Amino acid sequence: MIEVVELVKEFRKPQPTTGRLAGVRQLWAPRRTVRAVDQVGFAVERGEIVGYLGANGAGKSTTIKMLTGIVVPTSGTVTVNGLVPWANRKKHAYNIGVVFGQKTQLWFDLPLRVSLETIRDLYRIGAADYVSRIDEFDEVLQIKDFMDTPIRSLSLGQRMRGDLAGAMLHRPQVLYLDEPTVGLDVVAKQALRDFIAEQNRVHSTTVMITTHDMDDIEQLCRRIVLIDRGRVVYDGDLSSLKRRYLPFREVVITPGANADTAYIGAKHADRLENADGTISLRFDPERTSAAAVIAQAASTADIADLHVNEPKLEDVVRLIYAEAER
Amino acid sequence: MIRLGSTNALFFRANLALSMVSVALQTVLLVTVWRAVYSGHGQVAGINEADAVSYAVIAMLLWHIALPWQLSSIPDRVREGTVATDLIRPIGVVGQSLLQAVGATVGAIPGVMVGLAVAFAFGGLEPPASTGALGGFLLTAALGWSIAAMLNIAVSMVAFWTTDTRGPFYIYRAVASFASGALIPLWFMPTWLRPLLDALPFGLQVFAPLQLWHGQEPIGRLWAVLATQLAWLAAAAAIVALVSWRALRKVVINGG
Repeated sequence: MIEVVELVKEFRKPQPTTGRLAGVRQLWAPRRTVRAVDQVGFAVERGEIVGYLGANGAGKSTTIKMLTGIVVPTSGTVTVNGLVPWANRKKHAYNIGVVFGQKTQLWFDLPLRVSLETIRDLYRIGAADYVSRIDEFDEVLQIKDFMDTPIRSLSLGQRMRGDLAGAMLHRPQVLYLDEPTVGLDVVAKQALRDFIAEQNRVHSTTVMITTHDMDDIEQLCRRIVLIDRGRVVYDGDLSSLKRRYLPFREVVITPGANADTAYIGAKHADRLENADGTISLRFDPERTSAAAVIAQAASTADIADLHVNEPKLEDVVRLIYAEAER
Repeated sequence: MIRLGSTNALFFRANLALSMVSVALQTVLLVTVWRAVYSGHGQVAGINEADAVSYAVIAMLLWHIALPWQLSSIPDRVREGTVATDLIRPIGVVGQSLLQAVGATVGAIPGVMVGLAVAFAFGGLEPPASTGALGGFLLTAALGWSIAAMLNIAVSMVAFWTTDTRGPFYIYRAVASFASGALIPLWFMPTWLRPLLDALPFGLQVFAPLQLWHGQEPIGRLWAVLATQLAWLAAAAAIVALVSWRALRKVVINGG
């Protein structure tokens, strides 16, 4: 559905100028080239939900803008459903829906109903289809509650629900979501995720999502493409990513009141004493199992409580972003 | 998109009412001032008082719809980054802007009607010279509006390079208002300036239709005026196509 080959985007920016008449001298200041996206390549099959992750400024949004045809790349090729987005903007528009978390596609001063009817007319959606899709969207997004409210008067959660309805109204095959849950409360986030998952399940909509909310990724994506300084550093499934960056799991033990903690331990597990009095046994799941670690630890001392810590995507991403900053 | 433009123009009732009051006020002032200017003079440059007053009112109303205070939504949308969502529509940015301009013009009709009514009430409105003159006026006014709409979009698209378009907008507005004959009829311009003003497209937006209305341009010359307008419309469309082609290749979306 989406093919991206050696995609590059460079921006020319004037060198910052300071001192007297800086604003005027800026006009002929030498320009520098900044490469925002560097030889990015990947392919997305129909019906996939792909998380496109990276730190701020990594090049995620620029990539999305090239895939949607908004921005023309410096070099490289993109085809979406057989079309080059920036060369076939109008035809391509029928294939894609886009939601930008930080900017609305709805008309700010007018009621949601007018925006949706304008989108209906732009995409030549029949009256019956329009009504049935609004009914369908309303089941999850509950947009009928605020159809006659001007966009500027909506809460952020309502606006995003309206935006998502607007993006999916013409039933596009591909949905791009650029930080769709930024600033939303947990209820609004969940409504959006449920809607995206349902569109994907029922209509095989291909979804590409950039987000800093790892719950979006954990709940929606089976695959992740990770970008750092404009380059793809990981492309694969979620569990492999966790294995690659956090190859260990932990059994955290709360010793019993009379337990001799010095003896708590297990074969093939590193022992860490935590400040709260608990003991972590960190192990590589390829060498031993959680059950074996727990059994051995239980045989060495009296245990009041224990739990197993799975590696969290948030920890993985934090690790990668920290590496990138170094 | 047409509905969007008109709804936008008509949505804020207070704003609509105030703009109608503003048009009424301008009409009264124009009638009063031009009568004062003509006081004691039978004719100036071959134009009598009644024609001059009527010209001033209709020119103001034509200009009210051809050169609105907001040329198009493009500059605001570029600055906010929301132009990104316009670029993913099945109609291009220029097409969307043109349709919205049609809608905005429909939305300006109440103001125009108020202006005509006030001018009529004050005896400041002369009827067209003939039925043919009225037809010629409507045809050339529509083409003049189209040229203005194209040029408005071309100037708006400077936003893709400069983000803030106030500088180009003020220059454009000053030149266009003066050269169109909206402020002062071109009859009263010095002889040496007329060839320059006639070489620009602005006179075709206001002065040319009003010449026909007042019978200052014989109806037999209608085809020549229409041919010139069509040539300028084609040129304006070519300018817009070139500017938009360049703009869309260098578009930068503000705000991430």
